[in-house]
Amino acid sequence: MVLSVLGMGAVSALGGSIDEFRAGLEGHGKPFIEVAEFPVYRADSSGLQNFMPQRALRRIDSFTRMALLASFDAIKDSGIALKDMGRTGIIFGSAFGPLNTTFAFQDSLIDDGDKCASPLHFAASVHNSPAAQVSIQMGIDGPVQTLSAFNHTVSGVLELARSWIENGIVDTVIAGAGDEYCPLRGYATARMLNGIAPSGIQPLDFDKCSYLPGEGFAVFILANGEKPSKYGVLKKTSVRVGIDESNSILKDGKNIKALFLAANGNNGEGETYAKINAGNIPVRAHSHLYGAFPCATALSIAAALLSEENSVLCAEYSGDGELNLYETGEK
Amino acid sequence: MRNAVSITGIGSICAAGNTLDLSMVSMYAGIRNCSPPVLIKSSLDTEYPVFEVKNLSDKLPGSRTVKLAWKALHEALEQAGLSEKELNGKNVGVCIGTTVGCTLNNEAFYRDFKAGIKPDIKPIHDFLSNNPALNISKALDLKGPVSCPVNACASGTDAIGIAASWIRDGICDIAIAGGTDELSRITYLGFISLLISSGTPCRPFDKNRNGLNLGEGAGILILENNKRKRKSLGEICGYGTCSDAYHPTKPHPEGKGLLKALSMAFAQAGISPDKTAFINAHGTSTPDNDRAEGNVIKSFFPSEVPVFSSKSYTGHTLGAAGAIEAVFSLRSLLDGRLPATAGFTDYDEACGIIPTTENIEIDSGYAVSNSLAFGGGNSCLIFRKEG
Repeated sequence: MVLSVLGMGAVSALGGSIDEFRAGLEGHGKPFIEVAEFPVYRADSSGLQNFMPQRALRRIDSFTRMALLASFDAIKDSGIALKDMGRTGIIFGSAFGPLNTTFAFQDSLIDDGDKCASPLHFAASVHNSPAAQVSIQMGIDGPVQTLSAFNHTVSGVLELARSWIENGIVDTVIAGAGDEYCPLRGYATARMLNGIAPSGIQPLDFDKCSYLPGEGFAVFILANGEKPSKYGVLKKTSVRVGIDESNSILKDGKNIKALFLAANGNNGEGETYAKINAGNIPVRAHSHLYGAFPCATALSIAAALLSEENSVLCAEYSGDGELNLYETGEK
Repeated sequence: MRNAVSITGIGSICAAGNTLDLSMVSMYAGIRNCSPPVLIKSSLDTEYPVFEVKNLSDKLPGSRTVKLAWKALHEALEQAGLSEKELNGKNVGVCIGTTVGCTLNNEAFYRDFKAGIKPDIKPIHDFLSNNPALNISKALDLKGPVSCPVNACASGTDAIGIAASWIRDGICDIAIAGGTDELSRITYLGFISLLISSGTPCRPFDKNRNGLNLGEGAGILILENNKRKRKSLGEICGYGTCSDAYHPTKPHPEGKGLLKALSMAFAQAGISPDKTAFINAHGTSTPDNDRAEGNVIKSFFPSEVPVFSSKSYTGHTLGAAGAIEAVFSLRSLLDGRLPATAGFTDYDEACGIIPTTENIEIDSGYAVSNSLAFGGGNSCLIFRKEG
């Protein structure tokens, strides 16, 4: 079955809303790049105070704030009140989870000793903390799930959303994925790049390593494909597709009007993207606007759904020279 | 028509035993291997007992969490009559839940980083290659879907539920499903900081229970449609999952989400609760958890349905718990026998549950396995044995 995309939310270096994300894609905004030891694309979650009282935000960690803001933004974008969405579930994905909270807990051990381990940081360091908070803050008592499998995270989220809707478990899924930055990620990137910072991500220069870390969270409000959609539909995800099969899909897919790549300046992955034969179809990538992180594929899919073309294929490197493919359909 | 979900192989490793057979022998004999941690050192004044796995082979690949999964997988594949080689290149899915295995918890590395020592980033590379589901899928060169539920303590149950949906929906013919987690200093100190770890062996549903003991292990099930015509051990008949939408760490006092999850699972199975042969409860032995779960069991099931907590023999193995308990549940159905719950002596009116106090014979019927999680997650599986 296909999934109708009723609304979207995006928190990224382009801003804290899908409108700012769209404006950035259209060239009307610049990404926020923080330059410390190494440049990093930073997301801004300050807009969350427009949806939740400041007091309620005090104990909510930085990663969960991104997920909450993207979720509130997506619901607002859909123009549908949560109470009118029917039975609702939540599925989030993240490769790294709440990294800053994970290390804040370790800070409590290292700085203050084992006896001073922080219960608050420990409780919020579990990967499902963002989904749980969205469930609690919005009062969603349906199924709530979190997945984490690096480059298979986003495909897992969308496939599970399809399964829940197709099997009548829920009517609507708040599906999203993202990752947050932490200084250790910056350090690891600097080490991998021998301390030489690229001037910026050049996602379509597959030979060049121009990887820079980023952070962000994208959320999709998904429902049965028969429902009127704001952004068109997401068709079935194809996982672990070899290059030959990918090229056949592109060649045979007469309706495919553009190819969006989740390429992120990692030349190791670029070797696979370079083998894709898109023919005359325009090829695009946008990681230079939000940085590199495993779940940035969700932002790439959001960009595809925002594009003027009705039918777009998104390709994500899934490891071992294979791709995950996501297809959007008519609005 | 949707496919039935057959279970053709099961395997487990935990403190009760390094194989499923050994675990069952321990549990039927009432033996529990709960002692101060050997793998974990801390500067706390008190040592909190844990359920550690002994003699895990160093020859298995990956992190300790991944090694545990491989050990259980080998046992499950052997029972299913599948070799690793014959799975290569096939549309076989892998869905394995974890909590420790998905978290960048290398304390020594982080300590050096914090101190400005600029450590080698090998621990990062190790982390990236030790997602249990990806590690197994890649090593076996599988081409099916791969997913890793990280829904805290319900991860193992959810992994089995999701993998079952892959089989039902025809996404793959075979799925490797389960959960795995190692003991970690981080979770050890974290649960102590939350004041829900017990300084003595746990006592699920007992009036004087005072917290959980952590454990480690893995449980793996081989799920299939019936294309291979392999003898089935049993079937996954129902799965339900629902959130409490209540509190980040505490269960809803009336078990709102658990009730909904049970209702979903029984609706999918198409049976009523009176068909239940026994319940393998989440039964962590924390005051709040057992009280909430006890209240749900009392209200949802007939009073005579036996309740068992295998955590009294394994400790709380976090992301592995639901999977190990699923494996034990099916095995108990096959054995026609359910172990006594260790540690229970005094009835607690607030829970209203008297778990099994001796090994009991069980009639054919359905086994229910519950998992409750941080974040308010509640997940349930329903099994029946073949024939």
